Amino acid sequence: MQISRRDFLKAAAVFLTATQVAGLKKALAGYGLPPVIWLQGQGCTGCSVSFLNSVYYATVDELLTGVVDLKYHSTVMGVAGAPAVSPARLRSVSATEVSALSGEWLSEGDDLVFDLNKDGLVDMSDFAALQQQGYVLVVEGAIPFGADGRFCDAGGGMTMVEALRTFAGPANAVLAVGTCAAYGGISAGAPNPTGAVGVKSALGTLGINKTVIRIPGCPTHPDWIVGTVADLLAGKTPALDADGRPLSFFGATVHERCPNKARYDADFARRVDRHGEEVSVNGRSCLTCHANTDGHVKNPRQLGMTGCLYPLNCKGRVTHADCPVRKWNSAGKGEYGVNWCVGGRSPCHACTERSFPDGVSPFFTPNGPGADD
Amino acid sequence: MATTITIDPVTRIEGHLKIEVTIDTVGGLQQVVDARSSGTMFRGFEIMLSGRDPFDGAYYTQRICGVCPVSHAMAACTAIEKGLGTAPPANGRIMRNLVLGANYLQSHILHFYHLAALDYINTRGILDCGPWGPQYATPDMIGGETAAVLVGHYVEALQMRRKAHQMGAIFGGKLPCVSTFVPGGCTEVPTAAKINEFRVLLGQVRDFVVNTYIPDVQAVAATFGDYSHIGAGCGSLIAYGVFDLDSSGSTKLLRRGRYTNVSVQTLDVAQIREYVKSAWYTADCGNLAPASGQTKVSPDKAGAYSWIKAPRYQEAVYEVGPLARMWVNGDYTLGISVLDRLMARALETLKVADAMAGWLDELAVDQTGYAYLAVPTTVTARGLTEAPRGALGHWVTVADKKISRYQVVTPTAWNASGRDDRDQPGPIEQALLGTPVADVDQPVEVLRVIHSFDPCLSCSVHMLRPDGRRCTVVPLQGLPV
Repeated sequence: MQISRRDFLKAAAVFLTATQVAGLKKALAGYGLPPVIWLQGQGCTGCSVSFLNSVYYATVDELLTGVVDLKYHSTVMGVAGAPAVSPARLRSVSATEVSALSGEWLSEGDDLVFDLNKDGLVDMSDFAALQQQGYVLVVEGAIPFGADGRFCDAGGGMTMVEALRTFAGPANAVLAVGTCAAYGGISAGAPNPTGAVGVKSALGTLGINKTVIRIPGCPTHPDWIVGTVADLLAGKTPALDADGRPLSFFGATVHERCPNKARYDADFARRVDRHGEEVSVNGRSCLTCHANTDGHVKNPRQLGMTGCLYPLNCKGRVTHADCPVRKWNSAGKGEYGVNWCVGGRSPCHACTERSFPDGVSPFFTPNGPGADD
Repeated sequence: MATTITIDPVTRIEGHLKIEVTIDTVGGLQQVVDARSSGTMFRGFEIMLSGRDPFDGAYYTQRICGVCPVSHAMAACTAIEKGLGTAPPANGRIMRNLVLGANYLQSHILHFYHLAALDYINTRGILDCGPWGPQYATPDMIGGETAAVLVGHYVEALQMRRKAHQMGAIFGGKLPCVSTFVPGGCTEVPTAAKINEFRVLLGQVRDFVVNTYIPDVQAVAATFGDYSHIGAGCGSLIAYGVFDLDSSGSTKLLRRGRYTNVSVQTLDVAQIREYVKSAWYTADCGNLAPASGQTKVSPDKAGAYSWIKAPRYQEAVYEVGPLARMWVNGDYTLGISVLDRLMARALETLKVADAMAGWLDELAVDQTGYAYLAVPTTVTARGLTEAPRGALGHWVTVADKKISRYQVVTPTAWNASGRDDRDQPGPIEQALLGTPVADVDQPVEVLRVIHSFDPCLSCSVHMLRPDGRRCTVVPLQGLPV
């Protein structure tokens, strides 16, 4: 049933108390911005620091004051200890609270500020929207299961395992930000001394069946987080690849869009067969020869050179990310970044991939004179 | 009666730290009478690095800390280079200094505004939404119009630290975590356009440091005069030194040394040992020099309360950080306290920014900063540098072209360490002693002391009631529910 704001106003005057009015006001103060809870597991805070660099879509202050209600983030929040943890636990309005809210709903003038579901009416369906506000869970860092989870406390006396169990189930969406949260990453590097795993795997162990959007990168790019969250807030479900990564950012390999691809095609494509395996001549890899820079090989490749770095063990061919186009550390709105790994004349080291770091080590080979000996 | 309180998590730091303080009234003043600092996260980098390619260290160790990755890259590259008896070409040294310097600017600005300032500013009515609300609001805090101005600076500082990272990416490839630092130098090449781009950003950030950051620290100092004698701590300081000004590293912008017993003295790095009596590692990992250090966990060890080993110099407790660097270098010797740490950090920011402007002029345009180094078969070496928050060392052993031992001693290991084998509390634990606490439900004084060290780990400060119950602190300000 929908009741007009005016009808509500009339009714309200009869049964509302001042306390109820205050209660509603409080509830609505935090409404409007979708709540986000950002947990830090076993990681380096690098993804949070990278998030602070956001500017291409929006700056971090714009995001936090006008786009999302970041209820919990231990690197930036005001209070510490128990009061820091308690808002993270407050995820929805209780039924009792909602009934207490009725009053002041109507006492705020005629501008329909409480038309939360934007249907032109202020009614009980708006209360329901308020009650079901939900939240987005962002997880940064891996989740270690070793030593009963004691290798990482999430604060408030909870291990990261317990925190994930508490917050993942009721979340409207779960984002695994950074390669540690996405796949285990650096934190799960061999021999994985703490039994660290990524969010999806941890949820599986905990018996929680939930879609996890993976936004890898070591660290991840701020635009990849912000762009994905923007889609979610607009009610769009981002198209994901088989690994759960948004196609809009991870749909192509670094190699496909690399500015050096033409050089690769001219110089090195013939040196690998159609399966991507290096062709060898007389037992020696052609690419190994290009590693030698002492003058007897055409087109030697070395760190610090412009052009294709494939013979330095560049991982661009297996790495999904839009770094060649988007680049890093943008200067302003709608501007691509000032540089990126290959732009800095060093190879891509596949930091957005499940295989990072163990499967892509060594990250590069430092070619030079005699490197083929 | 003594009250023990636990703040968990300690927020506005990098990582997971837990500190427990016992509060009692002594001489009519309610104050901290005991403190315990616990690192509550362990990843096992030293274990994971064993067996890896020696040159992977510079990338792998950057992931120890996303706030100071550049310093880890610098330490890792320097260790290999020192071990091989080489140094990067001048352009490589200078570009690495410029990227490291850019990250100092980023980190110091971030520290004051985004990590520390909310201990001093009452932001109620100004920043009521998440993640800033609920907030502490004690009677001594700066409020009113000044608070509103400072919050404006908080927002401006977000932009400035972003610009500092942008600056670092010009020669670093990207930030956080640079790609261009490799043993042998820096793979970027300084074009005239890149130098100019860097210089413009540096000018903007420097203006902010001079016109906003330093005056704001002075304003906090003027309001919180008591803190020039709160949080003194152990009183001894160590700096490894940083920003090599020549290829040998014998001259640095901020030099190596230590301050103890009222004088600056030379530092013999071989006198450093790490202790594990209070840390969850097996006893045989203790009393070892980092070069022969071991990391074997023992999560059930009796009496232990932290994942942080306790580094000591000649068995004595030392503090590290910007104050230590500025003191040893003779740039700042006013005192050792909460305010002195904030002020030395701000003044160091300006010193580094001014030096960077000069380094830009020293770059040879379009010349390489990299000289080829082959992966070494064997190396035993150390790389010493300074992270924004203090002395950082990597000790590496390479055998058969693989890392066979890697030990890292971070600045926060020095500062946030627990009791050592002689039961001496670490620097933060000592600095908390005597800190007045007006309201145990808003222990903001404790946070001021902790934050002055800019700790960088996964920490929490546990505050427990005498009966062992967790101290319940009511949410301070309107929350939905």
